[in-house]
Amino acid sequence: MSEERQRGKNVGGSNTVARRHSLTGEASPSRRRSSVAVWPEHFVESVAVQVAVDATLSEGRLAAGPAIVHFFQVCSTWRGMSQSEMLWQDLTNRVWSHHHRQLPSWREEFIQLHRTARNFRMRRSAHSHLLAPTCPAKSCCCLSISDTYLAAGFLDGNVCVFTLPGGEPIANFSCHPSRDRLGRFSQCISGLAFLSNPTRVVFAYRDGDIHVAPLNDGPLGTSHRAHAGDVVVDGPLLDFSGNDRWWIGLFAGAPGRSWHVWEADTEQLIYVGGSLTDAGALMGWYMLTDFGAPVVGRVRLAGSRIAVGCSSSRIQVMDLDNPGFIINELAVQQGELAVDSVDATSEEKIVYVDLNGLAKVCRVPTLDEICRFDALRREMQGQNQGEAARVVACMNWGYVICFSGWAGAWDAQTGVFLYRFRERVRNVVAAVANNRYVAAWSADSGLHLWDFGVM
Amino acid sequence: MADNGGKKITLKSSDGEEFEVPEVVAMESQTIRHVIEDVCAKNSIPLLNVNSKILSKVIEYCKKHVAAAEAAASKASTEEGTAAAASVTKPSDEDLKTWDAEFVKVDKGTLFNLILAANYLHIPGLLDLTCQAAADMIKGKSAKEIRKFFNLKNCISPEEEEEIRRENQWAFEEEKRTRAFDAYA
Repeated sequence: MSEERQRGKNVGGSNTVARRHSLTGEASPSRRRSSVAVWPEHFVESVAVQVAVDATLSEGRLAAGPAIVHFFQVCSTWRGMSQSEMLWQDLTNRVWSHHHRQLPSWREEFIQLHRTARNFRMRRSAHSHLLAPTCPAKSCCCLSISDTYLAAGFLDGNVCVFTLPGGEPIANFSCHPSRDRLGRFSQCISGLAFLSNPTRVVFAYRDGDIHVAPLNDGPLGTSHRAHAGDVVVDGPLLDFSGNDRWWIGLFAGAPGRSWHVWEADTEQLIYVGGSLTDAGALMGWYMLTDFGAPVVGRVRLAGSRIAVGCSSSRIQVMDLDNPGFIINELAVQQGELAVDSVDATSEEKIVYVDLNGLAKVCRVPTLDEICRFDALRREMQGQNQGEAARVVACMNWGYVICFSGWAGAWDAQTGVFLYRFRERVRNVVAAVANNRYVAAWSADSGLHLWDFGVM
Repeated sequence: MADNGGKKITLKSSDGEEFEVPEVVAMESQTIRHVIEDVCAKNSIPLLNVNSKILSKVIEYCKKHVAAAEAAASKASTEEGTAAAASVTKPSDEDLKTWDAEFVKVDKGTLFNLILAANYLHIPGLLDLTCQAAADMIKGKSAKEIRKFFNLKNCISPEEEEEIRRENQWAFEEEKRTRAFDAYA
């Protein structure tokens, strides 16, 4: 409940409440009645929010809108509550875990989120093809997305940034030609992330260098090196992720140095350690020189203070408030985890798929299973059982999108298959999703963007 | 909760009954806290809007939550830096939730008076708890049933109900579930 709401303070005497709206259903003075209840306005607002939250918990977020409108229909005065920005802000925060407003009012923000979620449910999106593929050695290998930008990192060390929703390219960061001194793919982009205040993109190379580039302030296309990597000491950087508080790198090749954690504010390295990728050390080194070397590890942020790292046989959950402290760990049968398939959301959920195509959505940090589903649906696709298939997955607050020769959407709470994407997108090597967009790079057809925020 | 030696405050209900409570318990109420800190409370603080039955319930709630907070703080200081301190579910939190759930299993009249008292005394945790209980009670009820529950007089015409629905059409856009396509569309 909002702390800004005032309360009655006059304990010793008068019967005052700071906001004495009579919530009696009286639309006008001419219709006064007797013996009616007087409810504090913020209490009724709090009940309204609770009704919406309860609907969310029992039936999903799309049930919150109808529940709150039903509440407005109880009486005229409660209807007036539909104009309360405080109410809509509460609802947006608690139903959608959304805390920054981009539209003129919180009511519009809530409606936009509801409609976007409805579009995800109903397979209603606008598809764009942003970039065609060139040669395989210059393929995209990682993506990152925010509300307003999409960034693509390439095997040749280039980074391209596009604005959203239009998909216009606005910045390109080229890699210095001599960067491949430690192997042809040492300059490959291992991961990217967007930072805010000011808006920046941070990207990391496989040799461990980390660069930061402004997007709203200063000349586009320039970056500074925030961290100099030392691949001889640390091994190759397999994957990189970050937010405004933390940057996380997963390395392989040097024992006991799997995890690296930086403070985003100061760009300082504050932790090195862990053995998550020690078993894949040799394969990690191959990632510097071999095109098509298997992905050895992945790291994702699963909340403001939790990171999830995985190898092909283990998943670890790290507490970032206590870097190095592994809250939880899950062992998967050796080599069974499809590392490409691992993704996480800021709402503390992860998805991963095994080599048989069985996908699981789990809570973090408990790793309790929420649901599971067949990400390959071989029977429905007319494929042979047992035939190996690569699955690349991404997820947002409510949906898991899997690419495996075709693209499909599943409900992240129930595991129910919802639909297949109309667009044929094969051979996907990287994918990313947020609450409005899905983007994927196909080695066959390049960069695809789906915008579910179309109204 | 330690109940020895701390300063005591007397709270006087609307029907004249006096309750002596530790100051730390009384200060769970932001309203009472302001009186104590700003006005320098005298021997007793009169609460003209809260009767003895409800005030005793409010005090019971505040005592429980103060005790739980003290126990949690004590446990955290002895287990600092250990894995137990970072455990995902803390048994004391679960115990308190269970206690809270039992606390609000009261009749509608008592619940409503607790809501008004929690608002009047500005006890955010109690207001949230009672809001949740009220929301639970009206779950699944029609607008008419909610009006009856809260003793509200109906002044919404069918036209007005329809107008509300039109204003909020976004919440009712027909949800045509797409078929799960197994072949290319």
